[in-house]
Amino acid sequence: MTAADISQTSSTTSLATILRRYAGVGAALVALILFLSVTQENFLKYNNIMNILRTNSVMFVAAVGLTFVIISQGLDLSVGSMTALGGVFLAELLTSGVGAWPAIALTILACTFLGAVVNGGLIAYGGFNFFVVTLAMMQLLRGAALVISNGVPASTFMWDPVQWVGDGVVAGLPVPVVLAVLIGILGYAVMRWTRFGRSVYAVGGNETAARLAGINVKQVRVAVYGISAACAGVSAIMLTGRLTSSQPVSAALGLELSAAAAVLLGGASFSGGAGNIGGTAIGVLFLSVLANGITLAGVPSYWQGIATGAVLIAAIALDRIRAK
Amino acid sequence: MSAESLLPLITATGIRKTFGPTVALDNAQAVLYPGEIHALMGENGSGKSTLLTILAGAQPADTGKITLRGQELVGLTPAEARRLGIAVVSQEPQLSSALTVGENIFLGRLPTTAGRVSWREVHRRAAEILAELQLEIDPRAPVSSLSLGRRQMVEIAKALADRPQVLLLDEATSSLDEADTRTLFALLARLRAAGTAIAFVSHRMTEVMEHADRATVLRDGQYIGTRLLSQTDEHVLVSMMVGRDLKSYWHKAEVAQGEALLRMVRVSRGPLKSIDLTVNKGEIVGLAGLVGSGRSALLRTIAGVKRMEAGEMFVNRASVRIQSPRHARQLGIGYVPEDRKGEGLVMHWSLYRNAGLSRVAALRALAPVTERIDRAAYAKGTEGLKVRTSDPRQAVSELSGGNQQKVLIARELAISPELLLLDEPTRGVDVGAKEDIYAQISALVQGGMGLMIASSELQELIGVCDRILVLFQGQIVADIPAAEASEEALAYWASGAHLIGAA
Ligand SMILES: Nc1ncnc2c1ncn2[C@@H]1O[C@H](COP(=O)(O)OP(=O)(O)OP(=O)(O)O)[C@@H](O)[C@H]1O
Ligand SMILES: [Mg+2]
Repeated sequence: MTAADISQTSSTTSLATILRRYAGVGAALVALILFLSVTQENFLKYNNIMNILRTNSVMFVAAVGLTFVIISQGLDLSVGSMTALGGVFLAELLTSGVGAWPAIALTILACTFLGAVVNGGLIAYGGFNFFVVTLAMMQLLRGAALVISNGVPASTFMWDPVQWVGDGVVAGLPVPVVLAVLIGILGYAVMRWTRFGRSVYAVGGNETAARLAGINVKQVRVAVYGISAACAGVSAIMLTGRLTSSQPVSAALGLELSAAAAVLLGGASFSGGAGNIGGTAIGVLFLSVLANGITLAGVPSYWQGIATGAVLIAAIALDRIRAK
Repeated sequence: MSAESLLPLITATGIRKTFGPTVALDNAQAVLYPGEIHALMGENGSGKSTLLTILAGAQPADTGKITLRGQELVGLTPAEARRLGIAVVSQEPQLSSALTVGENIFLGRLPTTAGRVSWREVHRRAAEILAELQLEIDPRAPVSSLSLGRRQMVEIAKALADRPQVLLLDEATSSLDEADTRTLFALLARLRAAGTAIAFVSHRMTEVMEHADRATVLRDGQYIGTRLLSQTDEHVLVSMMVGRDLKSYWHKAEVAQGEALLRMVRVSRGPLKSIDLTVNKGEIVGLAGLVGSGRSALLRTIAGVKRMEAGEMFVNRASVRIQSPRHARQLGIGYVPEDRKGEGLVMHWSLYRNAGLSRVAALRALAPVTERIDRAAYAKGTEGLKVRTSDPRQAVSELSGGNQQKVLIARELAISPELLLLDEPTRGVDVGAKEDIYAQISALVQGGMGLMIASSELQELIGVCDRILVLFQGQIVADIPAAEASEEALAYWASGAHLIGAA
């Protein structure tokens, strides 16, 4: 085989694998968009599209972090609560006089620290089950958000940088959308082209094999829970800015579950070792467009949960059939 | 044996099976008579496992005909095959390690009384079957607590639980020690006397010559022929398998040994007691011993999987306390574990990625990784190993067992270790490929690499090693230059017979 042959077969195969990987959800996304474009006159309006992207950039950023965790064969249920606590922490810092940018940085750092040390530490070094640890942290962090804030929302309206991150415009595009895209690209690149990304896949694919081949599995686990929490921290800033206040009770309720649904829709699986951020982006878009369509069509938003659940089951069933 | 006078019990003829571009079987055939032990032979990837899975209903053939007692079987499923008395022990482990031995043996057909699973019955019957295999295993023990060899015996027990008429064994002996192998063949002889048709796949020629009545050979998925073993010698079979004559099985080049690469002084850990040994540059040291004698434990200690508890270890003269596999690798130690599926390969990854794993793992966390690294590792590691694949981008799970093993060895050869630890490196590897692997290894040893090989195949150890250490109950009881070693001598030390003399 000549070099030309090889590169040709390799490009056709990778195209084929890409098609196979995304055919299901990707095609469904395209079909959904076409359907809504035809049936809903408001769907294709610039404002509506930007609205979809802006409101879902929080979910996407959280889902990027969660993708790392799920590929490493784990799960982080504390993402939503971490986001809520991040918002409360940010508001506390701001009201106590810390500058806006330092407060933003400190919030993200604090979240990362909590995720890496408590979630990652207990799971990797303590040998605790990830489900138990992150379920406990989901309760604990939400509780901490309530205790710190007394359950009262705090306005962050006066701090421009926070507003800018959550609701600003840069080069004609919403800042949170630009941020989400940048984080998505960064995550994709790390997963695809670094030794760390490869180790996450290896740990999820066969933990023992990864360890015996010289990968420090514990460090990888700490890192993925740290990344997930860091993403939750960014989500917290974006959400607080958009809502112009911290919302200890209601912010990001169930975020971990919708983000996980998006990651799974995007081709990752709980058995680990598979998936990527590109898939996660498609998963998030699909859920967002679906929710938007339901609203536009005037269907009570209570149906959203039913639709999401049904889509998830359909996608996973499809995956099963394709795997055979 | 008077097989010809009987009617065949089960036949598969004109079988063709393709997987995408790969033709796994093409006009393959196997004919089994009641009351015979039939060896199925061929190189890695020649289609043996595929043929057995088709006979067991696990996957359909593209074309071809299967008959049982003269009746054609169409659309055979595993459940139906089992009902018809066809049992199979497949090459890849099938037990679920979370369940107990008893649960595994009766999985999918747990005996019930009044609609409820009767656990007492499960455990009683499991114990009965285990006793038949002379296994002292508690049916209530979780499978995860068993060694690879024990698990294999449980797989066999599971197949026997149905009292099958047709028993298909795919490399069932490759992870068994000698005692278990003997027990198994004694049992097979009893089943043969009772009229069972038995087919087994094995790459161990001595086993085939000793225990089988007839042998069928496949090459490249095609039926080459069937021979009565009482009238055939092993060279004929080998040349049927590889299509050429193999002169000698092993190459052993004389290598001038360098200075000490690894030295262990009174090292103890878990089952290991006060191990003293030295491996020089350019030296191949064999580890012989029964299952549980500490061969694997010793390799795992050097590889950093388990930390040593007492004693001293020197690598290149520097005193070291190896903390982790990563640390061991930083010291230039490569390791091929015994259980390729559980501890070696990432089964759904491509050949490239698997071959590149050890190289990639040695990099810094944010170092860039592209497919080029994997491809280079694959090219270097598989040099001379002749991995049989339609495309190195295919998942390693789609390879035949022996070819998977080659990929795992390639992964370690790709990092050019200073000291390479191989635990049962040629399990499931065919005769020709063993030759390739050892030729490749001896080239590396000439470049100064040191090698430790643990193997149950004594002949192989004697053929390739410079020196053989025999372990017994965690201690090194003999250190024999390979030139003076014989299978009898090794077996004598391995079995602990020296203690009887001393007492
Ligand atoms: N599921 C699959 N997908 C693709 N190719 C497959 C699959 N199963 C088997 N093959 C291919 O079919 C061929 C025959 O494989 P098989 O496992 O039957 O070989 P084998 O004779 O049992 O070899 P070994 O001695 O190494 O176990 C190989 O080339 C293998 O790569
Ligand atoms: Mg096989």
